[in-house]
Amino acid sequence: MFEYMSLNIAPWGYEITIYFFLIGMAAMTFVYASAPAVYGNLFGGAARSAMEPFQTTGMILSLILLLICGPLLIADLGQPGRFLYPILYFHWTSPLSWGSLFLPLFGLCIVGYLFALATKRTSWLKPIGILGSLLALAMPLYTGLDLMVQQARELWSNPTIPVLFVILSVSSGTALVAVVLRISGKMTEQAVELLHWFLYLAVAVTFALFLAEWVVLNYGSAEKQQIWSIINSEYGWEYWGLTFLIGIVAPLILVAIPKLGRNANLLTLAAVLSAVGAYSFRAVLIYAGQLGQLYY
Amino acid sequence: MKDFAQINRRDFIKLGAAAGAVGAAALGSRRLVAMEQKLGGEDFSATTGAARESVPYTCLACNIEDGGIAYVENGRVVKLEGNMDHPNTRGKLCAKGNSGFLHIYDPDRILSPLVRTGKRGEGKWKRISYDEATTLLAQKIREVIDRANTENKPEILNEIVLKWGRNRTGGAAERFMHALGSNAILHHTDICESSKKVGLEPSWGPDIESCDWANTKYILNFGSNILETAYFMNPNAQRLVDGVVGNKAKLVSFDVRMSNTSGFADEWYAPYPGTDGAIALAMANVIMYEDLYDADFIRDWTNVTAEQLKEHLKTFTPEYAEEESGIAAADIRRIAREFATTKPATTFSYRGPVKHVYGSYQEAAIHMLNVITGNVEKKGGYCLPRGMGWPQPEPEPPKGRVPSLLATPPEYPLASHHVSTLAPYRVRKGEAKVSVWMTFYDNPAYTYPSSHVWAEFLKDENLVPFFASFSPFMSETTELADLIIPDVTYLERHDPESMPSGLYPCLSIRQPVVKPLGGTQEFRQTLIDVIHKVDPDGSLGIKKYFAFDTVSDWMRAHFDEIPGLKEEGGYNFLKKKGVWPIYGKVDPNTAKIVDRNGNEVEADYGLHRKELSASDMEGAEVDGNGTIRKNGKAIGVQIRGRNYVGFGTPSRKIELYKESFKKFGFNPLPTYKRLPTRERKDNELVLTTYKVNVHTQSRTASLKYLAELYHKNPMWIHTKAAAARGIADGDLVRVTSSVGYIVTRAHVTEGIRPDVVAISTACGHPSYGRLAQLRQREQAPDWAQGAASPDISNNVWWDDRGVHPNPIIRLAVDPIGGSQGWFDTLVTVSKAQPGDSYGDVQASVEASDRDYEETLRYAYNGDIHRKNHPEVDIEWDALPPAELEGVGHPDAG
Amino acid sequence: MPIGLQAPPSLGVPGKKRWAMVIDLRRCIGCMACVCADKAEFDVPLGVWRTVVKVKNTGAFPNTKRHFMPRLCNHCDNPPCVRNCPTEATYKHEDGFVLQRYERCIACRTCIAACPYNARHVLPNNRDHVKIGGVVDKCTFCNHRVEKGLVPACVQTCLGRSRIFGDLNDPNSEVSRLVATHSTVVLKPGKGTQPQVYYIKPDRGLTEQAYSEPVSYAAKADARAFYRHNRSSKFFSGVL
Ligand SMILES: Nc1nc2c(c(=O)[nH]1)N[C@H]1C(S)=C(S)[C@@H](COP(=O)(O)OP(=O)(O)OC[C@H]3O[C@@H](n4cnc5c(=O)[nH]c(N)nc54)[C@H](O)[C@@H]3O)O[C@H]1N2
Ligand SMILES: Nc1nc2c(c(=O)[nH]1)N[C@H]1C(S)=C(S)[C@@H](COP(=O)(O)OP(=O)(O)OC[C@H]3O[C@@H](n4cnc5c(=O)[nH]c(N)nc54)[C@H](O)[C@@H]3O)O[C@H]1N2
Ligand code: SF4
Ligand code: SF4
Ligand code: SF4
Ligand code: SF4
Ligand code: SF4
Ligand SMILES: [Mo]
Repeated sequence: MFEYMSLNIAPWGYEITIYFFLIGMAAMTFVYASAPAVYGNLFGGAARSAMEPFQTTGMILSLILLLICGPLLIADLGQPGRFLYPILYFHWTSPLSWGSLFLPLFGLCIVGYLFALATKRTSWLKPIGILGSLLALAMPLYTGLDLMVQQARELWSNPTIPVLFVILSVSSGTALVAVVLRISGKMTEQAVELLHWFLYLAVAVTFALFLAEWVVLNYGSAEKQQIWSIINSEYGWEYWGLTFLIGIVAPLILVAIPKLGRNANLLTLAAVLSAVGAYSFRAVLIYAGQLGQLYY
Repeated sequence: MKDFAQINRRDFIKLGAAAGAVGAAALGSRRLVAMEQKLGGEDFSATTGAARESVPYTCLACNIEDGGIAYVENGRVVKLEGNMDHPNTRGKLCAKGNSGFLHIYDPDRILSPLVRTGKRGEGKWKRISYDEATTLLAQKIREVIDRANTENKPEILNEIVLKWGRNRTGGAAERFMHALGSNAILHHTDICESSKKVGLEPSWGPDIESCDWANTKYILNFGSNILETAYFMNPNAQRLVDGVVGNKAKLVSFDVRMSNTSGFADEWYAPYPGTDGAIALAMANVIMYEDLYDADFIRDWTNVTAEQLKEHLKTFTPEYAEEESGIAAADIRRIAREFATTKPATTFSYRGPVKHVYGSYQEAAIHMLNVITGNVEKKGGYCLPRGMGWPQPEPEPPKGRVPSLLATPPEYPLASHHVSTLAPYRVRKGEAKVSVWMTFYDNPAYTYPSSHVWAEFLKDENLVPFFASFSPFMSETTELADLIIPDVTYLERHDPESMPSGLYPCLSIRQPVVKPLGGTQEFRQTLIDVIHKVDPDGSLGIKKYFAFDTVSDWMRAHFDEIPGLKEEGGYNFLKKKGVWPIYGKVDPNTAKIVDRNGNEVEADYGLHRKELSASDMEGAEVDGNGTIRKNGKAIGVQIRGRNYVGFGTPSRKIELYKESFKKFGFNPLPTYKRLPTRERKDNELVLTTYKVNVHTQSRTASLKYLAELYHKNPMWIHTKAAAARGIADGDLVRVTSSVGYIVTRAHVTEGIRPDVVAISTACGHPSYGRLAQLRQREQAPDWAQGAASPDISNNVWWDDRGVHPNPIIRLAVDPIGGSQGWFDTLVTVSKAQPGDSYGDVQASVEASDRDYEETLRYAYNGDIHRKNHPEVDIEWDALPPAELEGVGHPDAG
Repeated sequence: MPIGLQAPPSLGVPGKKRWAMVIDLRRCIGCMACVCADKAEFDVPLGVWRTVVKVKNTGAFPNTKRHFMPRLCNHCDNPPCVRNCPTEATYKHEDGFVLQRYERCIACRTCIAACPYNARHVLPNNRDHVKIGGVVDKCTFCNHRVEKGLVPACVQTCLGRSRIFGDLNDPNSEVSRLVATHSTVVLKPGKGTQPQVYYIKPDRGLTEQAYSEPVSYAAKADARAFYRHNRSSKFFSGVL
């Protein structure tokens, strides 16, 4: 007799990781795109001037991302036809139910925003922008919450996860915006300033959270030790290489050195690197978090 | 099983009456907290909640014959469960039993007779009807009979051969052969455990013990895997756990590798293969010399004296046994003392010690431990098996007139359960002739030692001109047949049963729980049809033995006249209940059988001490040894003025001293002989094989639940032995014996002796349907008519079907019991060579031929025999000649 | 009283049953009868299990032992799988069963992620008789039998009588007696799930959370084959 029946498959594969990543990106893109309307007067109007030309493109990008995310999430279900059930049979203790509610609402906000832009109903922009931004915030929040409420999994069940996911979405959203602005040649100085500010914040917080995670895992319980060993043995490259060095340390260095960080090309590079990190950090957390139970 | 102590209705009534009084005190307080939910007996669909129809049957997923209830939904068997009324099964089935219904719906089951169209073994078949098939077979048989009659040579009838493996027909197959006048009945008992039988029968009558596991305090297991296999796996495993956990009995287990039983035991010892006898003799030595024996029992109930035994055992010291087995003398001494002083105690043994050349000696030595400690037939001790008989319909055909060389080779006069392994060698040498070869429930091309020899043999149309198989599955053997007349599965046929699988004797029945699938026909009906076609007008005098209109008539003839059962409804009672008698209920908390008031129905003990009645004694005579004879038959034994029935031996005592052995130059007392494997060279290892809890021999690899649990059989090798050969866990290895080699993988483990390697059976099928071969995604062969299984076609996830070891296992016959020395093959193991691939098999027929010549030298008339028995004081030059005479007893194995 | 978002517990609640299983590991012989009985009971497809028996060898020759550990859903009194289900497809029956509404489940597998015991699986769509597929399934404590007064199928057939089933709220039940008179262990008590499968005499190595990847080559190779079959992935990744 061998240990044959310890076999099982873990619930969430790459679809979920990609979804988490893209939805975060969509959310932050929305925030950038709606910034002229929502934060127009803050930062001395920096957001307005920097993002004004990006509004429509950003909203369309956000919509495209959402249109990828929705079907991806639905296709990942064992019963795609029942994708409305979480709303139909709404269960208030399940973040997924909330997420299912927010997701279409968020979509409506994008469409509404675009509609307002197209029909020049400028007075609509701010309220839709604020509502949309809140829902945008809810996207990475709920995905993080989805993990956080799994109280049985110590890697996930801590309040930093939603925060981390929000922060990671800032990175990935910034990357998208930076790339688009750079390519379209609309990377103005104000835009650099704004993006730099957000990226610096995001990468620095990610760095802090990474360190916190590292400390917690190392001073951890049996389960944390186990996860630590899984991370190092099965996801060593993703964790240390992709996430830490490429995704956090490298962009952090780039944005922290004022001269480099305000170079449009290097800033874009830093943003892209941080987005890579944002993906692989989530992937490691999602995968390794499940493997602990796989053989139990 | 005919040779078990028979219990008649009178005993049963007595037993029932006595039961009320016992056990009341023991159970009273515990009953209050019994499991509140019902344990079984009804069943509901998990999807609809509807009650399911239930039909009792007797399991044959392996051969323990547990009682079962089949649940049927929309004409389909959906689930099996143990029959709560079966006193030994007690409502439980093992993994195989639970999965047995999958046999019916095996997508690769054969649902119509097939006749070969291509070359033998080529796999080309034509479907024919049962009528055409039985006509063809009858015609082939009739040709032989006609030839025998014209030439007036009854020995020609022995050219009709029936070889079976698992035969639970209750005498039908024997009746068929005897009706045809042939004694060429070959069966698998000699590859199974016959040396155990021959070690026991001359000593106390029956061929097995029935331990009172639940009530014992000490169990010494020699090479039986009680919790996984062995006779009687499910019932014994249940009661062993009750004994060890519930009754705090100690379990000491001897096995060369850590089986589940040895892993469960309080102490596990791994002796050198084939040395259990030395250990048992050394224990007997300690018990005798330390005066720990039961002097009264030896005096009253055996044919030896304590002094005689001491003298015989003198040299078998624990130190000697340590030298032979590697088990420390101190442990042997301690265990012997514990065994003798803890009462009650029992041994159990199965194939481990007996599947060696001289296995019968080993069994006799183990058996003796119970005798000298007086544990025989005691509560909690080593009891006689309790079976029940049933009458055979009259008229019964006599045996054939001439003994068959194939069935009863004259070199093995003590092998009362035949020797079948030699058959292909003998036919190939022209010593015997075959005209019609039939197989029933038999797969020698897979299950026999040097199995390649069987495949070669059965493929050869000169040696086997006509070959018919009655199998419902396309096995390694059946695929070589000319004609396949499929039987049905055990859930679709009739058989009478009685298995001594516990201390409560009972009868049980096998009956179709659903209509045979796809219009298939049970073997019993095929036999009737063939006989009716061989002798259509009855002029040959054969037909009258098969004067049944239906199979039910036949069953009625078995069951309707049994006293006691008759009053309760006979066959109809069994059809309804599945088992008779019904002793009581299973107490859900203690699992004991209890009566209506919750008092334990205690088993009957001391069967040998039953006293003969005055009418029994009428006209009986008592001889000088106390044996009571009536009409020339020993019926009992007189001991200090009382007349007991005693044991089933000529003297009615336990005959530790076996005159029959001595006659042929064997030691009459239990002894130990060192085997050639004991002289192993340093680089060699002893190859053993074993069974696992979730498979039965060759026939479960296609049951998906079981295959999922266990589908490959890498070779167990100890960490040190592997390291010495540079072998790492999982490495591809070449295992080479003198017959050939196989290429398999190493499973490096601490759970095995460093000088032994072990490969389980039941995997590595080159045939037996698609799932067994992991070809489930291929299209069904055209002979397979079973329904498609989306589950099997899509969800099978494993990719390794194992490698079968039998081709490289040497033929070796125990000269006493006639059984195969399965665990007597030496091998070398090395990392696979370049070009080797997993599953490669190479086996030489010539090498097996040499093994055949070699093994005959151990037979009583062979040269090695005499050399090995210097201590036996007989006229060696006046040994009885090897003559074809005994016809032995064909048995169910 | 429910604490926090806990489903109403039934343990100790008068008028309710609290079905529970006691597994006496001294009596488990690893016969796998329970596994097969369970597969037959529900036509459970290959590759998924409602119950398994884990096997572990310990020690060095000749002092080795083999341990068995039957595992199934714990029918937690505080089941995280239920709390996190977005459709209430999985729910807690008032007598303690944690059950599935197949017609409602979307197979988002949140409940699988939530269960600390790996007690859940996604049913493949290719099945022989019961055609429910593409939804999450798990041990039901055989509620269809229990409600008709029978023990679960795996208990019914358990050769070692290692599995014992009953109502813990009934002080006279066998499970109550066993829990009261033996020291029992539940799995991962620290997770707050209040599992209702109680083990007698477990081997520590089997109950404690340890990263126990398959060790032997034989087991590893099977695991590889298993994952290869599941689209070469350890993760769900749309294997249906
Ligand atoms: N699950 C299951 N149960 C079965 C069967 C089945 O196929 N599957 N078949 C039935 C049949 S037909 C039979 S005959 C019985 C057989 O039942 P068992 O005899 O219990 O089983 P085996 O595996 O044949 O052999 C028993 C053990 O002998 C050990 N052994 C080998 N050599 C030696 C030795 O020299 N000394 C000692 N002490 N041990 C040794 C092996 O390691 C093995 O564990 O099982 C019956 N029950
Ligand atoms: N290596 C190794 N070899 C062994 C053993 C071992 O432990 N190790 N054990 C040995 C022992 S103990 C035994 S008893 C033998 C058993 O050896 P066998 O008696 O040859 O094997 P079985 O698997 O019982 O079944 C034989 C065949 O019966 C057919 N069959 C299956 N079901 C039915 C049915 O319902 N009706 C009919 N008519 N036929 C059916 C199938 O073709 C099957 O292949 O194997 C021996 N061989
Ligand atoms: S031991 Fe298992 S397979 Fe064998 S007869 Fe009993 S239940 Fe059936
Ligand atoms: S998979 Fe089904 S039962 Fe599980 S959480 Fe999702 S909807 Fe609920
Ligand atoms: S064991 Fe897992 S599936 Fe079962 S109730 Fe507990 S959390 Fe839910
Ligand atoms: S309780 Fe029922 S569903 Fe659960 S494992 Fe046992 S048999 Fe399967
Ligand atoms: S049926 Fe009972 S004894 Fe057998 S493996 Fe399952 S729990 Fe253990
Ligand atoms: Mo056997």
